[in-house]
Amino acid sequence: MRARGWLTTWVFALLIALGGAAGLETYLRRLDYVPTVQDDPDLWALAYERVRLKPDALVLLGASRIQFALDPVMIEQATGRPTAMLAVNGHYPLATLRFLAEDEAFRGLVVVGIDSRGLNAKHWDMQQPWVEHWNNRWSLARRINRQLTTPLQEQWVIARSPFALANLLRRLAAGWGLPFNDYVILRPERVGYVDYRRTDITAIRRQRILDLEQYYRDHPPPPPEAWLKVAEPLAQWVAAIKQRGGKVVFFREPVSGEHLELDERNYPRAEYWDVLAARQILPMIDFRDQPALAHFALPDTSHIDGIDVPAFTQAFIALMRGHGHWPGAARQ
Amino acid sequence: MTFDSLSFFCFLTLALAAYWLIASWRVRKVVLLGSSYVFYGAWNPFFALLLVATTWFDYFLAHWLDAQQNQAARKRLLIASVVVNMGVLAFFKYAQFLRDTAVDLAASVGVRFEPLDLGILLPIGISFYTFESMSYVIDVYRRRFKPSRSLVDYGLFVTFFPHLVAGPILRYHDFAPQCQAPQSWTSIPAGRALAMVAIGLAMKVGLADLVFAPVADRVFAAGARPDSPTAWLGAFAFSLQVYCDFAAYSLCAIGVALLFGFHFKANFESPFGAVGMADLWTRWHISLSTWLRDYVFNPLGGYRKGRARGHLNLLITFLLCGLWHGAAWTYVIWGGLNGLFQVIERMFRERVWDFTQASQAWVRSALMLGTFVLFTLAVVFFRAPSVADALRLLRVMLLGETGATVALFARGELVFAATLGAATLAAQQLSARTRGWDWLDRRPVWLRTAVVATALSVVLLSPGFNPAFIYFQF
Repeated sequence: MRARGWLTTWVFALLIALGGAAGLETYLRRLDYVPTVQDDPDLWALAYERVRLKPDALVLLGASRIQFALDPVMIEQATGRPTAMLAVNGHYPLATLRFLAEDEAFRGLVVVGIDSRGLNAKHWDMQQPWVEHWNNRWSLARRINRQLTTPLQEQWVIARSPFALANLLRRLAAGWGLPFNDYVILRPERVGYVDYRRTDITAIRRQRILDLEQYYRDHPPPPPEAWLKVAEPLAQWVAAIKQRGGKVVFFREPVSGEHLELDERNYPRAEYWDVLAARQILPMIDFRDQPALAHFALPDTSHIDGIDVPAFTQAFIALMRGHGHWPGAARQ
Repeated sequence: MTFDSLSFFCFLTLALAAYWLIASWRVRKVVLLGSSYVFYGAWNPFFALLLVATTWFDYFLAHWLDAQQNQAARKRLLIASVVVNMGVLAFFKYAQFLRDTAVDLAASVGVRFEPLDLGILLPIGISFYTFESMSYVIDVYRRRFKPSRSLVDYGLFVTFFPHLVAGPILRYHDFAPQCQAPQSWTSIPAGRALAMVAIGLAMKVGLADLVFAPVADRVFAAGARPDSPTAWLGAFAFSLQVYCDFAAYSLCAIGVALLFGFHFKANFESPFGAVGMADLWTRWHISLSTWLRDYVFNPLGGYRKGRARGHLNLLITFLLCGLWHGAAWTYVIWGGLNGLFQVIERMFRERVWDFTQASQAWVRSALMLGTFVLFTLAVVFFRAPSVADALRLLRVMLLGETGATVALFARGELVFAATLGAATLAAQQLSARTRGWDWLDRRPVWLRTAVVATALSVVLLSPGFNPAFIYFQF
């Protein structure tokens, strides 16, 4: 009798809970929300773990401009190199480069997407939490959990934390409405596809420029000689990777319009970037010197549209081949 | 592997299937022991070896100790066990703390040096399984029971995965009889056990992580400058967070163990329904407070050697309780405050008014709230990153000092958290006299269904990056 009572309890409870979840999913889909993988340090660690011990590994470092522009799956298919996306949206990558230099097991090729601001010493540790996650918290249990979670997030809007019941209720209580309808679709390999049709591009572009102006007011550029001191540790990290048979290529990613003007005004190319490049200790590719990248539109002045990711990735592969950075690239 | 992860869900399903499909009781226990090592090794295989070594050491030492008739030799063996167990714990947990303290002390007399970075990683649950091993050897020394004749049974006592990383802290004499004879799966209260797991998970992923933690995190964040009411709210939120986090873990552990036919004692019994701090500590982390009573407070003499000595013993016990929680002065002060509150309370009850005998509902309710406030004042040290941070927040809370420039929360956010906080406290007060979870069986099906459906909905709709249970760090 008691067991039967519990069976009834559980059957009805499961039906109610699953019905409620399905109802919320349907409601959110009607509001144009779409499923996307939620990025976190576990996904980052999973990507690195997959390629770490492979001598022909290729890792992509940077922030959103790399993460939302280069598709590691396409690169892997085109070059035969196991490729990992380790760029982190909103975080400059030098902590990860330092970590790769210190990781004796890593012997691959590193592409570092960077700009003048990212080389400023005050931003070096931005990705350190991801490195510490790898060093201290990454485990088999986390790997399995992440591998089980990702397919759910690919299929269900409600499988991401912004849509947790308590979050939704708190937002409603605070009068904030439903969570932001994200216009970047992240794939399990951590490449993001920006869909500008899902957002107000004019507003985003305006806000980006306002944010950048504010950034330069809050963080005036250091004098060139102070900024150029970055070359020394960078050269050491690059040498450490090179010593193990690896390689590092720095890539100055495209920006356009007011964004480019603000960058140039604060970090004049001739005083900063070109002086660093002239020292020839760091292999560098600058978008400003690459006509093949010039025709890609940057609707928000900083990121390409997701539709252009395949073409941009192909152009980047060709560029790297052209510069002789991928000697083994022909293997397919 | 945490209880609120999909990897644990898969692990538990496989472990339950393997366990209940095997007929042989001995093989079942071996499977359970192996599963427990997989559970632990999935976090860090090296530390699973440490766990094996600890288990073997105390198992064989207890036999050796039991066989000895010479009292001096028995004592030496006991000391060896305590030194080794505490040594391992001290190395992993306190080496960094001692190093930092030495650096601070040297700096205070003008000597500055850059110490080696020890880079020690703390094995999850080491405080819990060390205390279990120690209690076993001490009880064998006291001849309370004969040492286990089965390494598998003893290994299971130390390692059984539901309690391994964050308790409850088991006692061998409670666990051993359950290893003697198997239970039939039809005798397991599976419905209730699963309900306990679901309710525990909902408390963790819903209330602790998504309702109370966001409030506490913002108030305790570096550089936060809350005004006095907000500081109080943040401290209350952390009290509720740590309860909903840790009690949830214990509830899940008890429910999961029950699915395998093992009964653990309750670890939390409506602690915020307590009248007075002494009462609270009979309801909060019960397995630790009884462990400290039996292996620290009573051996120190308890109150048998007079009031003053008893008060001192209580203070020492709670200072050690604080140090057990974490290698930092904040934890030591937290423990000391809990001891001090109890000493003052005891004196007050003896000389002024024994408020625990109050019978009027509103008086008891007010006393419960007062107890919650005292607990919260102490818990500020538990949560704050440093003693200075804790004192700064307490000044804001108690003296109204404020440097608040911007509101940390929207009004609706506060109302939401405060409502759920008040509901949690009210539930605790109403269930202050309830013990265990058998009452779930006696409730009508519709009510149980409502409770379980709510819990399941919260669990299903709380995805994302799962922060570890707070007590994993201890």
